[in-house]
Amino acid sequence: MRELTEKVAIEGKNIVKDFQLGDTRTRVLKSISLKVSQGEFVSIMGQSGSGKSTLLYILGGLDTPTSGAVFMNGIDISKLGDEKMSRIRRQNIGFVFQFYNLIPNLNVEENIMLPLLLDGKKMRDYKKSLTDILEIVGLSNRRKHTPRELSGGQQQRVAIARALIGKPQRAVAELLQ
Amino acid sequence: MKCWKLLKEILEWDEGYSEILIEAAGHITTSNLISELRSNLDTEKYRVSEIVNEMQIAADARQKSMPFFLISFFSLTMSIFIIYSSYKVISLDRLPIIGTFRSIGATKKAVTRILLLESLFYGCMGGVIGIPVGILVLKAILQGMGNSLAQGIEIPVIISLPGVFLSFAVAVIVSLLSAWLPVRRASRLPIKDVVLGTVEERHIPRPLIVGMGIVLFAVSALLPHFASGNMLYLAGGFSLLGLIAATILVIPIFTSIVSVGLERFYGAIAGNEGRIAARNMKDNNNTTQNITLLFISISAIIAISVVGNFVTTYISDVFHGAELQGFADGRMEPEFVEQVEKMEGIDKVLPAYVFENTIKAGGTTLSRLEGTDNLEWYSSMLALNYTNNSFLEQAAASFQRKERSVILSEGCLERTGFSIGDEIILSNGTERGSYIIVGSFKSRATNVEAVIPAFYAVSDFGAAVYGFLAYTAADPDAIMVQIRALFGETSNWSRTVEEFNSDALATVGAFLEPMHTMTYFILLLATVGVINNLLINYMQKRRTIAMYKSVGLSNRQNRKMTLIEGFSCGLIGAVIAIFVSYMEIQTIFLVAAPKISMLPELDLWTFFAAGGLGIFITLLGSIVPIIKSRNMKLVEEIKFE
Repeated sequence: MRELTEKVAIEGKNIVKDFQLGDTRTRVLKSISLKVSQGEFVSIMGQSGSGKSTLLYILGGLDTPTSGAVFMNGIDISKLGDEKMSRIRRQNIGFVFQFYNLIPNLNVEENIMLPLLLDGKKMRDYKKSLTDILEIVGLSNRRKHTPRELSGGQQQRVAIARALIGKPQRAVAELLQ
Repeated sequence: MKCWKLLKEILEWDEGYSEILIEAAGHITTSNLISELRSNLDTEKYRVSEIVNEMQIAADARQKSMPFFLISFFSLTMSIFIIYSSYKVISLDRLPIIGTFRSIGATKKAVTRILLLESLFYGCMGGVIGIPVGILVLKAILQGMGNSLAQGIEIPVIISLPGVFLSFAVAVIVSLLSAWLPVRRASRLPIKDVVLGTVEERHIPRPLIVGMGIVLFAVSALLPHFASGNMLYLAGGFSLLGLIAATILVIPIFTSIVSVGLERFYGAIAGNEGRIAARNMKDNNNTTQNITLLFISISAIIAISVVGNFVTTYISDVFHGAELQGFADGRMEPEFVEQVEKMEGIDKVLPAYVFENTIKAGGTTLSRLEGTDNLEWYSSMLALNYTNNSFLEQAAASFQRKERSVILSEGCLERTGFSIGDEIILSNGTERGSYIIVGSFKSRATNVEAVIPAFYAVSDFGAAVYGFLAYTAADPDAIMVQIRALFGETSNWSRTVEEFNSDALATVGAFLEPMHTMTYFILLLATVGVINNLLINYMQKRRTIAMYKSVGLSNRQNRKMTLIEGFSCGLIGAVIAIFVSYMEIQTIFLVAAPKISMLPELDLWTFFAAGGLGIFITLLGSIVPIIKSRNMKLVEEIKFE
């Protein structure tokens, strides 16, 4: 069993999220609070339309709550500007999307390396890490292929590899099958 | 009889007129009237000539209309491409609706018909709105032009009903033709793929496309060199279209190759964002579309600018390349010429005997025949371009030996059906002489049809006074003042070349102003088209941008990447446009060469300025996508549509 620590990886406090569609305002998240400790594995389950993805996007820094806060390393990320938030997405969070969201023009190794490339890292400095992760996900012989040339399962593995290549402190995965 | 009596009375008046304008009665042709007047009047005392040469006007008008024709050609090409690329996107966006239609029973034909009717509607609306707006704009331009002419000429706007119908038909046809391919492709997709959203771009093997492009390019470039006569126009038209089509086929592979190089270059100077921006351009349909539109626009602007400037120079600077610096047209005794030769600062003086519409060659009246004793000076002073380089030497030697030789203009040769080497009879009705045709030429500085040795102008046709004089001098203006003083009251038309050119430019420049205005319209069309394309590209790319942002692309990095991509597209489009427009200009002037005796001077600045403009427009067009990306709602974009 994974060792849990007291250190909090992500904390959400009184997260409220409303969506405005024309004149209609819909409250999707009604004051959600949660704490995920370092080393903890949390699964959020619920009915279709209950707000699971919405909560994940907020906790993963892709959306901001209508009210409430999301803390990482003691910082409320929901209040951060674009530059700082983007750095957190690159360095501290690995997100695996439901539909993978691979860049169509880039090949497998470029897609995997993307967060590091955007962080200014050089491909050659991560050759070994890349090779290792490709082996783990079983795509060593597909590294130069584009997403169009992969099956759904292979694309998902690329998405997972991309989320983990930078060894982020937090990984968020949406509806893994 | 009455008219002759009246004319005789007018001519006998003490304080007479210097010019009498005569209109031919309905059934009498101008040339018959002129012949009749010449045979009844003392040609020593009176000069009878045509005021307006309608054939010459028609020929001049054709020259002036060439740039406008080019403008129409390039506008149509750009419009077709803009509508085609817009419809490609519209069809893709409409796929869910098309899928719904097909899944509930609509046939492929029905779907095609519905979408084409829509494009027909757009074409009709374009015509209905565009034609009145175009007429208003044209009226405004021509009114402005008329106001600027010193003579206060009003230029009528002649818009015929057939012209209106033709414009409307073009609007509809262009819209339908441009939309037809994407619409047909979209409506023929398998229903399953459309409904499930698994539509894939049709993949045509690249070697085949590139091969076709290269072959088409080579054929288009070479074809006009092998055509002649009327086939030259067809070949020229095919060449222009072929060059554009071939370039469109080759742009994708060219872009991919360049982007590989740019990846390394940008990686070194702009970091990973630059490398990724270059990488994004490889095998990217959006990028290819941008570059294609940019290339069509920039090459249109370059070609129209070069041709427009050439036409302005060609029409207004008729003495371009001619050595003379001043000329006098009037009755000049030998003593007059001697006095000119003695003027201080004079360099060369070339007098010539002139016969206007009095000498016949075979049965054809020559509009102007001149006699000179120095054909070499004559040729350089009046920039005679001989059909064959050896003609000048042969003819000059023949003139020097006082042989019975004549040189004819190319137009005259065509008109009379004579050939080099033919022996012809020149006659003024009473005297006649036989001459051998030893050469042919064309010249913009003179409308002379035939030139014979001065010796025979005197011995055969009794020439006693000169009718034309050309000179070069240290101070042409000072000489001209003296020449005008020498003429006194004698009717003459004397100008320095500089005076002639500024008069011509003032008139011609005003008439060609609409052409320069149209060039700005092309620029506007290009700008709107490129920006529209970039916005469409943004709409197609926004999900991809959202994906980048979801893994950590900041707004600053996105701005950097967008600008690098925009700059690169602009640069590639500009380079291709400069090369292809150079080829297009070669084709245009190859086709026009038989009719003109001047080649365009290509100014590098025109090419680079147009290229720079293209890059600027692309960067400008990147602003809106950058702003829209900043305000993008990430979650909404990355959710599967």
